[in-house]
Amino acid sequence: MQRRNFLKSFSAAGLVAGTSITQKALAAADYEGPIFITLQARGGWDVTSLCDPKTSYVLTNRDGTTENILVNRWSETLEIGEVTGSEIKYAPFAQNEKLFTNHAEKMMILNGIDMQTNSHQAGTINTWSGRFSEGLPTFTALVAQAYGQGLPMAFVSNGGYAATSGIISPTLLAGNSRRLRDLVTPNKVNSNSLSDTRNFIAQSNLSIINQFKQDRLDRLLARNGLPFTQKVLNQFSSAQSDQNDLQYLQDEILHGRDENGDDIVGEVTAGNYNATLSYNNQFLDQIELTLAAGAANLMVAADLTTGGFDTHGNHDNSQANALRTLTDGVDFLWKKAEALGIDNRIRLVISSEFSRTPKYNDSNGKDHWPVNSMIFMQKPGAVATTGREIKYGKVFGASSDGHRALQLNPTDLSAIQFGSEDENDPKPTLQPKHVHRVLRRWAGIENDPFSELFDLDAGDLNVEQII
Amino acid sequence: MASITRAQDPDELTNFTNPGDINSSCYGCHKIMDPIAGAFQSYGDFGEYLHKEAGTTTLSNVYIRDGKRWNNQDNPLRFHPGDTWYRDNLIPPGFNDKHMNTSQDYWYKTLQRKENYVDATQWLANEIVNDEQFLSGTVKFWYPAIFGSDPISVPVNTNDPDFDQRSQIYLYQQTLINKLAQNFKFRKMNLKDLLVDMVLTDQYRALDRLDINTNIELVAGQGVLLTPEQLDRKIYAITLHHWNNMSNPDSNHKLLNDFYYYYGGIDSDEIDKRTRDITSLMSLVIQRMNAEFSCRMVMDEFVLPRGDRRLFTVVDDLSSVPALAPDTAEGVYKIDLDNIRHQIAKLHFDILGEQLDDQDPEVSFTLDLFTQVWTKRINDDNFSDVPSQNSEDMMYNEYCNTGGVDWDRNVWPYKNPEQTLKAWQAVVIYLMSDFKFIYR
Repeated sequence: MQRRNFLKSFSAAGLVAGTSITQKALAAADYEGPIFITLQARGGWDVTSLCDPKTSYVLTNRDGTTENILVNRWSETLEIGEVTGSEIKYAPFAQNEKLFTNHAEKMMILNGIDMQTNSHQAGTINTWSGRFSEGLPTFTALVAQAYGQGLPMAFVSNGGYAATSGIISPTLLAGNSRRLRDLVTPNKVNSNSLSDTRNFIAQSNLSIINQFKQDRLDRLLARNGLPFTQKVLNQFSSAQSDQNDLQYLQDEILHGRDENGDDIVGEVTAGNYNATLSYNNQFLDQIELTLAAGAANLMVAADLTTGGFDTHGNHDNSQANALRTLTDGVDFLWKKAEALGIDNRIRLVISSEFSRTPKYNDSNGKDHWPVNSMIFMQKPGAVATTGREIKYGKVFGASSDGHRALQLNPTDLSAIQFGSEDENDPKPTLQPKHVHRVLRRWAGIENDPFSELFDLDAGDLNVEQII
Repeated sequence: MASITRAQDPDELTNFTNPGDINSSCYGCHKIMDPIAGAFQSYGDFGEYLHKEAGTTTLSNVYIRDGKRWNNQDNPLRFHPGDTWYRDNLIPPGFNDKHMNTSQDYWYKTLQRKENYVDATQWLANEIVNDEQFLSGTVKFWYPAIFGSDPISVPVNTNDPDFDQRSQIYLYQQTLINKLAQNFKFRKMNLKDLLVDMVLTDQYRALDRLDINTNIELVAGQGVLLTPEQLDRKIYAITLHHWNNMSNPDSNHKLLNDFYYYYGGIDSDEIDKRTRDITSLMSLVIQRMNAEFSCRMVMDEFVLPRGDRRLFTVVDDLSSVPALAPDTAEGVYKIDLDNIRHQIAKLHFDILGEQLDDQDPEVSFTLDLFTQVWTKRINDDNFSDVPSQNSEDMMYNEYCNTGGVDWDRNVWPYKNPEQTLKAWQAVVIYLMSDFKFIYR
């Protein structure tokens, strides 16, 4: 479709909040491509205690005096961790050693991302859409739209920032797996038993009712109505016609469980994994259901969320707890994906709205800080027919000892040392708009019509160096 | 808060530790927020009322401790016993540049005596309500509840593909908000009047594009998806039944518990945006609701005398059939087509709000559904005495969620050889899964 016509049809369909463009699938729901997942660490994580480790630095005050600032207390007794054969370094904090020991081979890291804000809202929008102001779809919405036309749950949201700009509707999947079984087999009396085959409504009756429902919907659609109502009726119609495909979730929800939904000893399930932890990690349920949707070939992209990172007080303890939840979740995600046989398809990206100040405040907390990081994860060798592969073990972008975002040479992305910048010829810092160019290239959607429509205006850095 | 661009400069963030400093860019927002925070001085982090220092303050432990540790007489900016607000705060409690009595001067008894308030929050409430912006703020607060979504934010990126469209809608919405706000003021801030004004707008009432101007066509009309809370209340209002565990009328409502998030509920933490577009998974919630709910609901209706029923107040009982039954069929038959048609028209009104004549084509379509289901069963030998064995029809693997009702009793309505129960159930499912039932 020519760009002009594409824009025209897009405009006609209505881009305003809550609208959606529905294009029916050319084929049955059976997506076997890469699955893109964002993990949104909500509240502002401390990357200096994760993937951009900092210890202390010398601060020059405005009056010219200097003072030594402690960035992290762990640095008083512990050394920064290094991953052998890799550029990746990590803070010896929380459970980072477990995360990086077991999963660094799948990682590429972007550090020193200049968020240009320390506002939760603006930072969240910027991190996940590539721009401060509202109006751009998130990366997951964009990629789900590109590859998921006709899938009943192409874009799964578990909360967090999920702006779609009207190009696709997110499916909220936060809930209980047993109740999800009730939904994927809605007519079964006992959905959580394979042997109990009783139905509420005789199949013959259901067929008659469904035909009458469809006829009624067709009549409503045929009546002259307002564009808003027409659009909603189309959504309603699509939702009903696609719902049967969701029955394929049944087997995946039961993975590792018996027919009653109880965990089988030794299998990779959220319940079994939780039993190995010293705390209750509810985040695992979210991961498990999301991966079930991916394994059922119903989903292209999903947002996962975990919170607790806004540690203005008692930082070390609270941030460690939040990071522990996150890193256990990442570990479980890869284990479960492998058990489901979809680890080769997973593309995981982890970040937050910003980071935290490179110093402690009076309440032993850390406040907002506009320099961020993003962790990309992909199993080595897992190259699909669409998209590209990350550079494993590489770190792009950089920050100073005091966690300032460093300017980068636009062509080779080498960092300019803090204090050596040319005031007359400032170079760009790595910003979310550049990161989203990287994400789009990773997914192979940089030339998708919607990617072009939602332009990032980020050509001042040669991000082809990254992916 | 969009009053000012939030601090972006790491240098500034390093050197300014007090966002109330007028020289920091933080000040743009904090000059508004901090005074309001000060008005909540009687309440602690978790809502406790004056829970420290023998019931005199809620200030932070560090601030109180430091004030006691040092000789506070030598340091007027540290905590003094009896203080209710921070002495080192650069922006005093208040609202909109109006300062409230603070610190040692401020004490609720003093205020009570002077200004007839017992707490600072009451002072704040009075100030807020008397501010001109309270009028439009109130309209914006109720806007999503009435119109189904928040008014859109001002479009700022002229390169966005929908910039023109959004600009049109933005201007329309702002004009509407201002108009409603002025009416609200004129009616002495009577909320009931405001809500009436809102539902009388074209945006709320428009059914056809002839009704309105083109600027609002994209946001006006039927099609606001009900939230799980609204749908739960609607189900009860129409049927006098909750969708819950049928054997326990006091059990949790399933739309508010088991399926709350699947149907777009929020937890106001990780999930803080309501789902406004229906998804396939959400449509399965409706299907599940009807599967579990409809049979028992219809049966409970027909158990009652006609005058005591909620929905089936036209047909006498389950013996009303639309046509002659086969000679072999058991049961007491009363060919009652007119009343069945009238009953269906009433169900269209009760469940969908459609006011239809008995001869309306939509009534005829629904009657066709009733008749098809009935005919299929009455002509099938397998249904000659169904349901009469128990709660389950073994031949058709069909089960009614009776919640402990004993179907073994060989009595009406559990014994329904006229085969009308399932026909009425089909009608209820058809209507309760309709667009007009789950949207407004």
